[in-house]
Amino acid sequence: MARFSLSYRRYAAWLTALVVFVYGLFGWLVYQQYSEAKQAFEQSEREAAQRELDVLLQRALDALERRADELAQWDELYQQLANPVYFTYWYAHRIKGGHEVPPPFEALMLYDVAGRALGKETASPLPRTLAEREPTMIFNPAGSDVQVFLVRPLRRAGEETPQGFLMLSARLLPNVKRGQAFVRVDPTSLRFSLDGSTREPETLRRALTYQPRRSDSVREGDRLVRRMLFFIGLLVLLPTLGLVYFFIYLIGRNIQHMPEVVSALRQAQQSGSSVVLPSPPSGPRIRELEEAEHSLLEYQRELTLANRQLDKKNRELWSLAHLDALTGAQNRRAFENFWETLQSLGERERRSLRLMLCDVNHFKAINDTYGHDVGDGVLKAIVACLQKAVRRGEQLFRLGGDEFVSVLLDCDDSQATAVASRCAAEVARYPFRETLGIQEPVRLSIGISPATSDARTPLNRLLRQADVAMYHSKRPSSGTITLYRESLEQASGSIFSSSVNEAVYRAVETGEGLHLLYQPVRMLADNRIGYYEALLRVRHEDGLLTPAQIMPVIESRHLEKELDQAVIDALLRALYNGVIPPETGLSLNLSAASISSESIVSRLDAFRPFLPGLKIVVEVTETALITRMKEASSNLMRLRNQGFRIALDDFGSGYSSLRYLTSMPVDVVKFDISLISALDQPAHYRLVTHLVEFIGSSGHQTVAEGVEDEQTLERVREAGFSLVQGYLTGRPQALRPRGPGQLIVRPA
Amino acid sequence: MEVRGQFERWLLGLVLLVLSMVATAETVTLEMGSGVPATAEFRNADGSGDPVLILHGFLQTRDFPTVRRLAEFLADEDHPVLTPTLSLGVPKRSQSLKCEAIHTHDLDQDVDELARWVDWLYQRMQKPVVLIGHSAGGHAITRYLARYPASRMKRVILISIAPPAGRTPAAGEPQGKGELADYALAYCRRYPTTRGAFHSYADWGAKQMIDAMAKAAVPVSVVIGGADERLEPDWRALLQKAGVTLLEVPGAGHFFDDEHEFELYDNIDTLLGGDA
Repeated sequence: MARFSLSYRRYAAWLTALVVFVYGLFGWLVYQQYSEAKQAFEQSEREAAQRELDVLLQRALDALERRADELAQWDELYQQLANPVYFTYWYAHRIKGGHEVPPPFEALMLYDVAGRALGKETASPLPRTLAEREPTMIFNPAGSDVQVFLVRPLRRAGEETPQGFLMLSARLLPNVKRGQAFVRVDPTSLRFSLDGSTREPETLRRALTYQPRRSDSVREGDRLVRRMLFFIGLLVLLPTLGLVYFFIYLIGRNIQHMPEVVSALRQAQQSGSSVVLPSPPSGPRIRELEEAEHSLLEYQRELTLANRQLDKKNRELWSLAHLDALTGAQNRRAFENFWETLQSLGERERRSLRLMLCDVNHFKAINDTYGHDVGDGVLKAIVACLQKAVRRGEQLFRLGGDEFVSVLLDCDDSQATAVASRCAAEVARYPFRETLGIQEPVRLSIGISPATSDARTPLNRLLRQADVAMYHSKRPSSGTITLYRESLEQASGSIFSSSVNEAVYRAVETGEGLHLLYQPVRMLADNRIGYYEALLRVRHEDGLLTPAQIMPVIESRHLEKELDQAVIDALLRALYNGVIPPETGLSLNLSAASISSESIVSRLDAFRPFLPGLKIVVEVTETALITRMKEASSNLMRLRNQGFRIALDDFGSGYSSLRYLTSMPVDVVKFDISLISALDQPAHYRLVTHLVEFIGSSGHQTVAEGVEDEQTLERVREAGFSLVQGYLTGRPQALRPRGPGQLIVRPA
Repeated sequence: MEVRGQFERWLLGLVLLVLSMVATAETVTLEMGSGVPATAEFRNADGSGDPVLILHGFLQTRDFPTVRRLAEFLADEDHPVLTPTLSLGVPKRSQSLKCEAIHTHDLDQDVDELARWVDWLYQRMQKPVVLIGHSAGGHAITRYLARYPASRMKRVILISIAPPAGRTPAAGEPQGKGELADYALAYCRRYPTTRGAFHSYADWGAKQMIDAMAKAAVPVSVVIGGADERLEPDWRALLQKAGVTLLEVPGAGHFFDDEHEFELYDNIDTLLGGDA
């Protein structure tokens, strides 16, 4: 999962934006709170303004009435009522021109007791007749103002009957505004919207519209809040921006120094020269970054040192990986690398070459017999011989075990054969007996496969071809050196075909396809079957595979113990199924590895229940060199003590027949077919006769293998063998199971 | 000693002020000859001293301070005191009439109203009345002296009396009866009135007043202020020639303001035979 990553400048920008956002949010919230408080305050102000306006309106009306009452006591009014002769003159000089009417009033008119206006013609806008008789106040609309008419009866104190009446009129708005202190109401906004004449002050009050005076405190509050937010904003944003800029400057200079340091380190790393650090930035530095630089330098030093050590280890590892520690020859990996190099070169220039593969005949037996030290010595000697034999520039590789390969460049079959011959000759000349104490001759099997140095020839196929050729060389009838040809492929196809491999593997792993034949081993004295030798076959699509086909696969994969295990299990099933007739016996072949194996030997315990009724013979082939002689002898002794018989198979065909005979607890000695077939030769007959006599006198039974005709049977009988085995006396055959119910011999 | 005398007068004034608050007074209304009712303030109806009638000055009322305080003083001196307000054509007039108001009244109407009040007081108290007039109030009293018998008077005291100063309109006096014109009279520079009414006041001059005082059957006293600027230079001589008792309060003005008020009271009281 990718981690979130931004440049420090972007972080700073986001931080700034965050601060601005947070402050903006804070300011907005504060202003919202303030606005709500202001609205509540303004509502309160409106209510207060309405109350103020009510008071001022009432005060103006009261003042008008008070002034009207005062005017109603003016002596000159009574003078005019008493003697209205000069009323017109009086009205013109005292009212209109005399400025005697109190300022609130615009017009005045006197009426006699009948309600008739005094005088005949006046400029008064007031009516000529008056219906009112009581003190009255009437409001008439006059545009956006109201005309107030006041009527007062004119009577002196103590008088019941009025002497006349007075009507006054005035504009209301100027009287509302005049001399009054407007605190919450804007006096210029006052407007009346009276629909018609009324005498109700409440109606008048409702008709008065106004605009509240914008409170100084609200204005001041607005100004203070805005100024506060502005200055707080400055106090927050300016230091924030300053800090951000400072950190960008500080961190940026220091951070930007880091890539320069890294670049210098990389340059030094690439050039191998010493590190020349760029000069640090001027101004303050960041301790963590300085420490990081120092750590980087230290890390660089350690890295350089580690690289050097690694180079050394790599070289050592390369040597380990590409050189065989034992022989000093190059190993399989080196060979593969060499082949790849060769192929890459071959793309430009196709060259003819030969792959020479060789191994040491019976090396495993040598190794097991003489020990690993001797085996190692053999390998070193072989390498020395081969390196001496190959041409200049040609390299020798050890593929593993006793297998060596060399690529012979620019070479045809004859030249390759010549090189291979030199190799074989060098090995043949080597004094193994003198230097390593090896009595047997050490020989090579060499296979040569043709190839070209291009990518079209897979290495595996070449190796396989060389392997086929080399195995062909191992055949008794073949020479030491074999050139690969396709016919060899067909001959060995059964051995290496994948279907054979699969059949063998399946038989070993699951027992499926494992097929046992039983060849009787008869007693020469009375021709009774002494026991049956179980012979291994594996079912294959082409028929039954013989040991000659099975064993190379087993040996090439070292599956000897697994095979023996499978055979043991199959034999046990056969015994339980009553396959083996009573009064006879059963022999099974064990490999050298199995004889030394505790698990295999322990597995043989399963045969013990059958021992009282059957003869169970464990055959050990003389040709298979036993590596762990001590363990093998111990195990065989253990088996013998448990009632098993031990047979030495193929006696006379191996390396150490007598040594095995003397060092292992053997009951039965089975003479190799090569000894039996040569009985027609008198000298050989005498030797074998003496051997049979000698071995028989030692308490061993002797078995003659490969008896296929009557003459041979007669000679064998004459030679003194106690048991005989061969096609003449009994072919390998499958025995039908008699079933558990027909078992004569049952486990104890 | 002078300081002590002033203190005593102040103390006396304070006592009078307190007493005046408790003194009884009634408003009397009389219908005058023109049918217009007029009112007067009658103080201390039960007073044992000589009944006194005090008449206010030109266009003023009985509430004029000089008149009111003198009335209160005399009421306190146990004199029944009547202070009428001349109607000047205004029913139950209670305010001083502005110069610019229409003035249809004349001196005869004023004298007639004075006579009615003298009669009323005389009949009420059954004693001859002491007539006191302030300023132009003295004009009506002198004309009353000339017209009415002295049987109802005991004494006449004229305070700050001076001859009237009048001026006819520059454009000439109106010829029509009852026609108004702007005259000048006394302190009024514009005085709308009729020709007859104007002349009734303007023509009752120094000579007529001196003659009336000289021929009076009752003692006539005149109290003037030494600093009264309205007095003509020869006015004192004329008064002395008329044989009146002339008392002059040094430094006092036309209205006897401030401390001169008490000196006026002292003189009045002396003239009325009191102790003060």
